Amino acid sequence: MCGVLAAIVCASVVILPNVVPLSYAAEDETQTKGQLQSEYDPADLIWPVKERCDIPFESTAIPKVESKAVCMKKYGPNDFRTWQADYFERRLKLPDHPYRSEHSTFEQVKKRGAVFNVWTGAEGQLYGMPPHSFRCLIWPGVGMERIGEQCGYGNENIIAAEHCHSPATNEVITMFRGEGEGYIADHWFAMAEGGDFLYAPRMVVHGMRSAGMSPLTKYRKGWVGTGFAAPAQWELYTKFKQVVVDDSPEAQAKGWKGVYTFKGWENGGYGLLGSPYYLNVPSNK
Amino acid sequence: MRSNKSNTIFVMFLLATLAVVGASSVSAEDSDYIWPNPAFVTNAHMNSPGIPKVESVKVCMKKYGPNDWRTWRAQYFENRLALPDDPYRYEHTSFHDAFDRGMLCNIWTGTPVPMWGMDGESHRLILYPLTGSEMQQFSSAALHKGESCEIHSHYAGEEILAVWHGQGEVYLYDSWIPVTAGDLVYVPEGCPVAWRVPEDSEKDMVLFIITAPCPMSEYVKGGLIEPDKSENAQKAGWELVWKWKNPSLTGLIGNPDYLRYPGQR
Repeated sequence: MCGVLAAIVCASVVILPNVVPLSYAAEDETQTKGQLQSEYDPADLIWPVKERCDIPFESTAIPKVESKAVCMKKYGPNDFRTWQADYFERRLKLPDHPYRSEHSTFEQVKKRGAVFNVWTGAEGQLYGMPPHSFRCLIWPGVGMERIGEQCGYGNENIIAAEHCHSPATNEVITMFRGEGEGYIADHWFAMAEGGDFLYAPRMVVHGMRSAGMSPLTKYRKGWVGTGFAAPAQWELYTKFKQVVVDDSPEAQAKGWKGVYTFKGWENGGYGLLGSPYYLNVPSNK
Repeated sequence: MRSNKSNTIFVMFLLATLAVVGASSVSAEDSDYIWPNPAFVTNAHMNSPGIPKVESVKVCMKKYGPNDWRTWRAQYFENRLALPDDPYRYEHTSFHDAFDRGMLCNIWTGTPVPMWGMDGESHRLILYPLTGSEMQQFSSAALHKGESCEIHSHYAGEEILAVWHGQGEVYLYDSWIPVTAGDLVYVPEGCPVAWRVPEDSEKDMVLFIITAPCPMSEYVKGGLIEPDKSENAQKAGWELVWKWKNPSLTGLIGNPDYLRYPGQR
């Protein structure tokens, strides 16, 4: 009898690790699909706040964020807008600092760095993603030179379709928050929440999309994906027209035919105070 | 005679039972671990230092609580175990596969390297030249309350610190800044940087660290690469050709001794 019990215990020990129950958040019926920019009551906004953000509030780089309580009610716990609200509520509990991007200029970032976040930056649209679902966060337009850091957000049925970059660039894309599917080289695979990221070497095709877009996964929550590319993806910035050829009268007077300049969006379009016009032109410092 | 035989059988049965019960009590401890799981990790690499040993969420919650990075790590691996596996996962990939077609990594798996006062369990190099990445290095740092790293700088590299889990503080240029999950810290070339979790913090902190270009000097300092002094190197007249000291540390399936050497493929 004792031996039988011991055998059962042993068998359980061997089998159990493969059937560990999971503790995902329960699916929420209130989740909204696809809608990335919602109507909001200004009274519900917790961000931006004047004492924390020197950048003009009308800048598209600055997200307008409803409180977590409102987001929970409107979108549920598994929507990326609720996670965004959660981030800004946590921010508001921390002491502010002058090195936050919302208080920094391009020149200050180049000199001493800055603290950015995954929700603030120049908006763009690419790879089949809907408007307001993609931002350039840390890239040459805000003072970095070697790495381009972008972020994509989505709930259900959002795809950053398969693509690759210039032959010099390799990229990592994280499943920073939520669940989804990733693509490298020749197929899609499931990506887990809490630590997964894909690595795409030079010229290797890659992509990311919501869970539930194939039989591999079931949709339970949205996703936030961050991309880190080195060298920075200049083809992306020119496609977005964040970097343009300078055809100003001053440039023409100097005989410049193909000198690139940042678009120079005023009003903090890059998520910083002011905007640079050139990456390396001394007169702009 | 009959009696002796019965006694022998009884003693053998007793010994066998004790052995099985003893073995099962050892296994009971083993059963706290959910990773590495032989169905998801190639058997030959189950014991690589690059593959973490992870207890279940239930055990971690009981031992460490909900705000400890070991509990977050356990949750990740439980999430993994619920998903279909894939041949492009880190645990099924060789250096050359990673170099050619990329791979699916995670922040918890990679070469443990003590660096800047952090031990190898909490600081892992994930993507770097020994795992197929040439342009950028990706590493992770997991800190408990009261832990910190030394203030340091990279003379020839820029860095981004992504706060993936929890909260803490980052030292940038000349001051400490409170940070929380979702923050991204840009560190310019040569700028002093460090990170810590204050003793009174509610939570641990996990950073995902991106450095470009790869800091080869750190690999020399950390003892990851060394000049090849082998007989073959001497025969070839190599005076200062770098090789990886212990390629098996990564947890990948097969690594070269050299970064670029045709005979390795």
